[in-house]
Amino acid sequence: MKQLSIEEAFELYQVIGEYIPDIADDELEFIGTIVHNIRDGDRPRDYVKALSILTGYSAETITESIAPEDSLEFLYEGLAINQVKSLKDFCDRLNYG
Amino acid sequence: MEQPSFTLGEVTYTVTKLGLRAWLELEDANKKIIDYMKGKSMAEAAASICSYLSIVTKLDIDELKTFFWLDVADAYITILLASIPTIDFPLLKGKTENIEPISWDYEGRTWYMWSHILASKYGWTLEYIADLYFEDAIALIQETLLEEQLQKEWEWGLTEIAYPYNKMTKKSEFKALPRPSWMVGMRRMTKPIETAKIPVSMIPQGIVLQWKKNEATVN
Repeated sequence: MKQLSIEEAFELYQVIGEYIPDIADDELEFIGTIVHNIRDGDRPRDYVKALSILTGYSAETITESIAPEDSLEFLYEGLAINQVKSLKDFCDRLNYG
Repeated sequence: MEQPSFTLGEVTYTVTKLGLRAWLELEDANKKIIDYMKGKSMAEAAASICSYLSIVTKLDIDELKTFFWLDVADAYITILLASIPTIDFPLLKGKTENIEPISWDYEGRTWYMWSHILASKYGWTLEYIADLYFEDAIALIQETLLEEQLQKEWEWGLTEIAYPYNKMTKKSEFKALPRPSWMVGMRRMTKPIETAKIPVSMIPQGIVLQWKKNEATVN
């Protein structure tokens, strides 16, 4: 799992932006809600795309070589390492959208 | 007071007192960042943030793109806070929206406009002005512009055009010279300059002799 650059972090934010909750008590709940929203969403491509950005693997590798339970773990870990709650605060501060 | 600092990679950078030119470059870069973020142009916003940081760190933009986003964000916020003036300058509060574009405008013009004002007023070189602490520079520019405006208002008040005839009241009424937006709301001279007819007895009579400079006596 890698630490994202500012370009990659913003790219990730564009993918997961609509799955981000407005309110969350802590980072863990925040990430949990995002993962839950992406998995329950109707665009599996976003799940794969987010994983691709966080891991650096291609979409093909993710869909063909990574087990679903591992991919879920990668997603949690990647969002945690990259402090996605801070990313939201930063984007909000810059008047995203 | 401790100087603000941030770390990128192994190096810690201290944000020292910003010079006018660097401050203006930061302001321009920041406007681009905000615009790109509003428009959700994230790749451009990321590049603009790196461009913003390169003004202070002198690092290459491509190198800045390799650092962890949180360190980059921290650096950006640190510089942003250091570049906020501690003085509430009216000059910086002028109207910025719905301004008609002017044909002689170009990117980065503020630097040339402001350095021109300071160079004209004080005779300083561009290098000196570029390194002038930005708050000092803003204060001096405001004072210069204020002085010019008040001088213009005084001269305006002495001209006929300042007193258009009102057909309704059948009187000439004082019409103030418009002020730049940042001066709007400041107290102005509301009354026209009072004029009075000079009695003939008080007007000089005969030939008026004028003293010329460098001459000991009036000829």
